[in-house]
Amino acid sequence: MLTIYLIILLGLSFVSYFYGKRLIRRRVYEQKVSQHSRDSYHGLYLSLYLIIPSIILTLIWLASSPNIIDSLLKSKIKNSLPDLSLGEINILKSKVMSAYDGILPVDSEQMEMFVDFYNSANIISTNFIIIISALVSVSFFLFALNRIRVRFNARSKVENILKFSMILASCVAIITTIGIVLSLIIETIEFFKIIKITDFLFGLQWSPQIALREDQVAGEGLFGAIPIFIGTILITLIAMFIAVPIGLLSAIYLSEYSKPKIRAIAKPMLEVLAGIPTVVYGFFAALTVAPFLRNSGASVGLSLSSESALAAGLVMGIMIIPLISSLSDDVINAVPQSLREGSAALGSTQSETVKLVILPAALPGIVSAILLALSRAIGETMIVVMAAGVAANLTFNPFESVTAVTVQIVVLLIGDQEFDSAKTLAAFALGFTLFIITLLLNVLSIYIVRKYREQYD
Amino acid sequence: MTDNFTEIRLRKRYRAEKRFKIYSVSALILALLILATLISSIAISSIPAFTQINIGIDVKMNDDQILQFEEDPENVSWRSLQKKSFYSMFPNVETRKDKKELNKLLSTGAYIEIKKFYLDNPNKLPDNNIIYVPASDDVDLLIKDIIDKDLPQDMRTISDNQISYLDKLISSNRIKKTISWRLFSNSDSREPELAGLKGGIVGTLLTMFVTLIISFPIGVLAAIYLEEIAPKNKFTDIIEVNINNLAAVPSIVYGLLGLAVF
Repeated sequence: MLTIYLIILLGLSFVSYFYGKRLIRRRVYEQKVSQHSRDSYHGLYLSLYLIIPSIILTLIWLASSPNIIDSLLKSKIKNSLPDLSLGEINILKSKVMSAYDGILPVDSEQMEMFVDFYNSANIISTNFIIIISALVSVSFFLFALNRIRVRFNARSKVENILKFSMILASCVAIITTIGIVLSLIIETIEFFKIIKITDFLFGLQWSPQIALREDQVAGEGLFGAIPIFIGTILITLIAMFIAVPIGLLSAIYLSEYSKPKIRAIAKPMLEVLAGIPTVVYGFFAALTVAPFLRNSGASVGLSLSSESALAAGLVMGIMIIPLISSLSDDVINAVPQSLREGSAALGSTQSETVKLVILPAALPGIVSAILLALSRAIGETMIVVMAAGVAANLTFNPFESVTAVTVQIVVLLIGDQEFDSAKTLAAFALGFTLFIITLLLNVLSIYIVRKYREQYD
Repeated sequence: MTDNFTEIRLRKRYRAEKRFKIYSVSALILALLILATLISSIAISSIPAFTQINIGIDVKMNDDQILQFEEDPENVSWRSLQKKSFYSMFPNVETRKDKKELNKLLSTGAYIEIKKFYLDNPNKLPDNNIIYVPASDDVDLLIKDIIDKDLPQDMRTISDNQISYLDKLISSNRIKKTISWRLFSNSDSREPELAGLKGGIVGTLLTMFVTLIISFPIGVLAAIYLEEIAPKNKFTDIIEVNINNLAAVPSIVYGLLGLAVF
């Protein structure tokens, strides 16, 4: 119903675009005055005034109507069955809703009444929004139609609308950030009401098994986050150990030494690595690298866990090679040619130029590339979920199995706990910590680039 | 003396130059080798999944079943038709246990192929037909040499008896390797030999579509505004830093946002 309305509206606004164009043509012809704005601006002015109010109203309705209908249904149930508890009302409500979707059968007369009520509430609210938005749209359209004159400044009106929508689009980033921070903070505060914040940040034991029922045999639920952060740090360090030298040196080779032909082939190939989905890296880590490491470790007498930090770290390092190499490649290329020539004129070899002139000049960019790669590695999920362990293990030994923050978030959220159990909330607390860490790294890298970037230009 | 000293120093510097160049070339080559290893290891381990082992069984319907089929194809007991036809190819297998083992060579969805065959070719109802049905996943792996035949019996998922039945099928030319179109036409299943990616592919495409619809206009509009129109002030600066941050926020945090909001 609503989609049909929106499609019709879209068609009408399309038509009104051409109508506006013809209207202004005719007026110009009749009045023999040169027009202010071009035809298409008048057309756009009409069609935007027709469609935008409806779209805004529909979006508001889509966001609010489920809640309104929900509470209507609830009060209806409460009125007809006054002795039900709140939980029972909620269960009945979701039963009615799934019966409406055809998932559950309508088995009683009472049920049928509720489903009918829900159905008619839905229909009424849809009709209501269609009529309201059609009225508003038409009145806006008539208003716009009334204002079209030969000397009317339609262009600036249209441009204002476009500019406003652009500003709105830019603000989506801020809204998203606020959304993330708010939702994480709310759940994290809930979590810290159950678990002390010092226990979380400095506790050495992580075993988030809590008893869901009174009589269940389970641990106390220990939420000390140190072991899992150590795991993440260990894996990330291994990854950086692989990625920084390989990425940086290949960037130096590509920008300073290689012939253009080799660069034209090798650079896109390196960037292929960046385009591979992380789940494929996860497979590679779990099915190829980890068994290989275990077997080769066994042959030299080392006992490696098959979920060792080494396997996950190695593959994560491979994943961030292209990030480091392409970012540092850009930075190295941005170093002015005059510096290279000056260094060559002083008689230094190419490697001396690189080491003593170019790297210092490009250092802020390279550091920020490494920090970005670091935050990528810390937040990487799929590789560690597939290749790292689950048990929290406080160790710095790369051959043992460790777990990572992202793995724990995934593990905590899988399964049927209540939404406000400490286990689920712990995931939010971990996510919030992760968000803060990556945020700090990003801000630091942006700060470094801004502070030192233009020094050599 | 001085000349000699300069020469030694120069040679040292040239050696350092050469070393540095070798380091950087080998870094690049290493990165490309890793890429090649990754792609080839994924490709090699995925290639067997694109083919499927099928077993041809002789199926003949009796008169009752033909009557049932003409009434309604759902009435025919396809599973028992499959079992009886397959057992009749091995007259030596008599005990219940052996028969059960024998039947395990076929996929649990094998009867669907038989049903499909008759629905597609109703004129072949009374004939003696050879119908190829998917083999079970263990048979599939054995014929593709992923399960080692030489392991002792209790270390593999397929028994010696079953291997002897398979050898008989191979010698009578009833094993056929085909491209497994099921991989693209079926959705997920508990049976590996019947599982496919269709559900996953459709889901991914839909997700991509929705993502594109949302992100493309917003992203392009914001980019045009920030680059071309917006004044350079504190506000646009905040927006730009914000966008940079959002790009680097781990995806799992977005997942948490989705969980909390929806």
